[in-house]
Amino acid sequence: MLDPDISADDAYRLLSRPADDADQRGPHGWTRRTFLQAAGAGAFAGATIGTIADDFFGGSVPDAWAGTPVGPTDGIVVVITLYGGLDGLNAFVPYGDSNYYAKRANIAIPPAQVLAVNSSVGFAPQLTYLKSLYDAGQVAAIQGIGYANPDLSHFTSMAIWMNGAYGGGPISNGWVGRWLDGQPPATADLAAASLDSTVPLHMQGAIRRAAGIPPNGGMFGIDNTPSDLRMYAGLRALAPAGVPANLRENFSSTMRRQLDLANEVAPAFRATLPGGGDLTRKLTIAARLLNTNIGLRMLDISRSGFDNHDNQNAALPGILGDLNSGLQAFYATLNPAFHNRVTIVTLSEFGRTVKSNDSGGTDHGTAGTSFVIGTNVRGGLYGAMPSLTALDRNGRMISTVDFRSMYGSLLDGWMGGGGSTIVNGGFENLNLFAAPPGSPGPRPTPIVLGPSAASGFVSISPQRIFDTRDGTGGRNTPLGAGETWAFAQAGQFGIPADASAVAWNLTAVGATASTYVTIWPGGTERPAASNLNPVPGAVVPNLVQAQLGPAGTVSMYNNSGTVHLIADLVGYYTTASNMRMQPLTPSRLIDTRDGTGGFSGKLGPGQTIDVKAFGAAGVPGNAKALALNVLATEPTQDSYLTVWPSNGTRPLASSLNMATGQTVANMVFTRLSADGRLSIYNFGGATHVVADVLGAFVDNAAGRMVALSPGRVLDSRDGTGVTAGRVAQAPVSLKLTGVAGVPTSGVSAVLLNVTVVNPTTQTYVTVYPGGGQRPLASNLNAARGQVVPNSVVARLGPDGTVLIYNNSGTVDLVADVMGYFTT
Amino acid sequence: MADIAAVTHLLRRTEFIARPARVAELAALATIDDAVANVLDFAVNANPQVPADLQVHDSANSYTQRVNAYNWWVDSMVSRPRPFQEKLTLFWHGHFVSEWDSVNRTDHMTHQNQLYRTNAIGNFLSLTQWMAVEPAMLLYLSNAVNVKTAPNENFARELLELFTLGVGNYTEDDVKAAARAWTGHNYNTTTKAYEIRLTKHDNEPKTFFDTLPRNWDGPDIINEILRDNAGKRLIAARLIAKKLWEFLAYPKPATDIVAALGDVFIANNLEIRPLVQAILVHPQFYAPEAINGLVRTPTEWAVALMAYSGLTSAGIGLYNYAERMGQTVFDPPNVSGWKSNTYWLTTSAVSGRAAVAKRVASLMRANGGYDFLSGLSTTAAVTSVATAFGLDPLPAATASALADAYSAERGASNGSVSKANTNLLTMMMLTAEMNVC
Repeated sequence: MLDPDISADDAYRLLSRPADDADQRGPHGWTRRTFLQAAGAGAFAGATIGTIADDFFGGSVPDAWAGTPVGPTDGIVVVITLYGGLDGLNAFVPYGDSNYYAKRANIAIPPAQVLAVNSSVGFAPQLTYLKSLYDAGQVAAIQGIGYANPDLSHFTSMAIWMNGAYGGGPISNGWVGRWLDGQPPATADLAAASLDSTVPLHMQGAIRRAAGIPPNGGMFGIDNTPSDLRMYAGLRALAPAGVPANLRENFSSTMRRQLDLANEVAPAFRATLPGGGDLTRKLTIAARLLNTNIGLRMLDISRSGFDNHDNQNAALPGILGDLNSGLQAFYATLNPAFHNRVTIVTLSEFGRTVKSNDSGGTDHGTAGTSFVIGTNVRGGLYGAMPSLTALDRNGRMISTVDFRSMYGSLLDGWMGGGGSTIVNGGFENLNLFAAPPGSPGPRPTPIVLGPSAASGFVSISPQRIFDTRDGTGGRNTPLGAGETWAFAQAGQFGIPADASAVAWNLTAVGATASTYVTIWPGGTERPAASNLNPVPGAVVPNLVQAQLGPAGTVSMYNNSGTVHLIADLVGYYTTASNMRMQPLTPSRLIDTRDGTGGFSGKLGPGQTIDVKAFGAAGVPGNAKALALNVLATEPTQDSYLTVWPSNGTRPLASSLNMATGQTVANMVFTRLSADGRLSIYNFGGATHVVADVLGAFVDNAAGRMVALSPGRVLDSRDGTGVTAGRVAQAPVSLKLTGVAGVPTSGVSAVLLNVTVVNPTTQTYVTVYPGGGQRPLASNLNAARGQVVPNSVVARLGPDGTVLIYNNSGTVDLVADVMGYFTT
Repeated sequence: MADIAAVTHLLRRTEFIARPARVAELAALATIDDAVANVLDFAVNANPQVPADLQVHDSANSYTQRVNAYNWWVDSMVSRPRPFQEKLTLFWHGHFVSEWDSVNRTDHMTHQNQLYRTNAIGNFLSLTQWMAVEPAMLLYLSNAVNVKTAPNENFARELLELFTLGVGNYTEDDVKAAARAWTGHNYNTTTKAYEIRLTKHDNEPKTFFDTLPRNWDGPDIINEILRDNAGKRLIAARLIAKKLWEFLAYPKPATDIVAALGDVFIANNLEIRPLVQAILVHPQFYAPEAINGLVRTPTEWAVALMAYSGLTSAGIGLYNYAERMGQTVFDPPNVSGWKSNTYWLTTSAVSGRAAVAKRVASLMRANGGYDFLSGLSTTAAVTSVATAFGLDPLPAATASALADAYSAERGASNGSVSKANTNLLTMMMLTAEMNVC
């Protein structure tokens, strides 16, 4: 099987041993010019195509890196190697087979925890994102992958997998390396790279070898002061012009190549590297490297730790979680233009024994499961889960798919062909792809965002940032039916690049049909949630808080007809701010109907009132901003209200829009002036105004905000969160801890969007803490037959619930969670 | 008189660098054999011990202990009167590997380290037997939990594949038999010590190397390979002889060299000292392909920098750079240890060396260090720095390239003499001559 000589030079690092640049197997990454020069000079006349153990004299060194962008229909493969032997049975679980539970009772994953694909198999509980990709039809799960006459040594089996060729004989190169050998010299310089300090065997060809890029970013040659550049010139001058003749020349040439390489990949390391697990970090860097578009088409990354001979359940779940987070980080980072050009494949040198050992681990096995992931992958199950009882003579599973079929299918289906040459024989084409690389109309890759970092608020005077009526914010046409519009936020409008979420007052105007509008983190899958319910002829506002997507954008969606959208930015959340929420039980600040707060009688046209908030309605004297519920009632004509900090110029922005005779409530976040005052302006006609305080933003208060992708927690129409049925005057108790991403403890208040649907009569709704007294306050008001949403800072009762009270008739209630405030 | 060039080569390979005083001392001896005996005179080291505070495990400070252990060992390589003992300790660490990452106990890691130090030139059979029951190894290769109801093959496989015989010289059945033989040789998690648990040992007959079935016990397996089975013993002797040669001389020695060294090893009952001695006095050890035939490993290179600069491992913060260069002592990358030569010549590993060189240069420049270079001519400055790193005389091409870069920085309108001095020190550490010898 292997050249016995390989044995003394043990395998793993020998397999991943050699320099990315240097031994005598010929030109790696040469430019066409130097390649021809060297070839013309007979540089290879005496060269042996090396055996793997050749590591004495160095060989060729390229002259320079020359990055060439990847073509629009060129496929890219990211190989994730899981060293140590992944226990395929606990990653892709045959939970429908009772033998699975009988043979490994001490480590088996209970059926309830398996992310089931069907009644037989499913993903490990940590692989949630991978499962979502599978559900989107973007994952091929190749079960029972392995090879005949399996070897149980890490090193030998790894060598066989890395080599990837049928037939015996000494192993001296690998399948990706042989693909690299076939690339034209002009593009081969950076066509393949390992994100590692060494380059494994599969990345070494007979004449070329992939580059090695250290994953920690501490790369020499990235600094570029004039003095640095002069030193680099000095180090370059130490390297020989031609083929290195010995180890010393090889060392200097390696240094020169390092300087060339640093020059090319510097962009991938300029931004801060993420924390988290090994694969999360490496897959983020991998996406950035691909984004630099310097010609990378085969990228190798790896992580070890899968050799779980004992206490496997203490180790493997964390590592699988890292894989899952890494895949998510990869797609969140990857330029969307590349999504339909990239395929990811996972592999490991073998699976593990069906039977667990007494120490809660598994020993070296044979067959495993590989995942092939990508927008253009034909998702589904491939191969067959091996029998857990009909085993080979060593008591190991018998594979059902040869791993070389996977390589060949990848090469032919995604990398431009050459499969049978590279794997040295015929193979079963698994038809892994639904469409070729770069094929238009890729299915969007679902990105599931986790909770944002716990953040403080930065309240600003309202600022109009988007208006489809006049082109503010980059769009001057209404959103069409079913249309999604992504709007960049991070780094715009004074919003910092690392902001977690933004708060807008969003207004819909000119809807041509009854519709709904959803706002959610840009680049992620649109949630089943809504923020606004515009109808023709109405101007509908709501306070919207949206977590920023991976690229710092927010997406807006309109369901039916066309509608204009107007967004006024009222603040944003960032970890750098220490201004945090102190939730208050709703309390009335002003009511012009009865003189509460010192204002009696309607606001007239163009009138501004100046409200002192400090000390009123429970507002603490150190509050910097307030969350208010503002109500306009009995307006004499169509109008709007603007709320802003006193002493400042009134901004061109609206906080609340109302039509003649309509009662409209809207949550308003407003900054206070230094002396604790806010101003309210009425545009036209006369209207009563009522304002209830829901919470105060105070320096160093406890309530950091954690933004979440919107999640529906209540819908009385279908029984979500409550028994299905119309809601009368008995308050609905809604448990908000432990649902929709809200943790089970440490939550003071939840930011909800509450929608009242189709009331039988004019009514209002009040949201208040579970177990508490219902306050004299309202959160939203609706007339018969309307659909009215409003945002609510819902303070939780001690049991994690809120009560939602409907004042008259019956209604349907819907609530979506947008985030929560910590205790 | 021993030949000065030969003595210099011998010292670089055994004592990390050729200190001028040691060159003079050994060159004054009658023959190279005498010089070899001198570098192997570990008695001069007076039985070095691991510091007491690193012999115990302090779970509250395990990371600090780990860094301290790293620094202590690397400093020892610089300061030991006969550094070859530490270099061979490094060899055995790379052969009978345990990873700190995996074992994660200071007491076990340093105890194993001391075993390799004490037995660096002792008996290979004894060393293998002791190594097998070291807590670090029991934990690392899972014999800690190897019991008859569920034999764990981890140690048994590596014993055959990596530690003694090599692939192709045993069968899967041998691995299974060896694993069963080692059942019950466990680790007591309370006492944190090796423990034989008779009830966990598989007393059933096992067939090992096609012999008649018998109740093999773990240590019997090692005795069979290294003492009783002449064929296997020769295979193992050659494997170790070749590996030591490659560690000290150059890779891929001719088969006759390996065969001869294997015979020496066998004839001396697997005593390591005669084998090492035979390597160091071998004419081929001084052949052209041996001179400049090895890349200094990152640790060896760092030890050389420390010896020439007077800096300590902690002073440099070397631990923080070790992984980037590709070698963290006490924590090899995997059970097969480290390789040689082009293994270290990756762009990323070279990038790690550059980071260390920049750090060392800045420390050497602290408090006005090497300011005097500014008063020298360009060529004199280069010679001065080369001398400081034991590299004088440099090859002309290297010297002139360094002089050009030095003078370019001195002369540039946006350059500085101070920066030129720092960069010259940095570049000197990154010359091929400093890294390959």
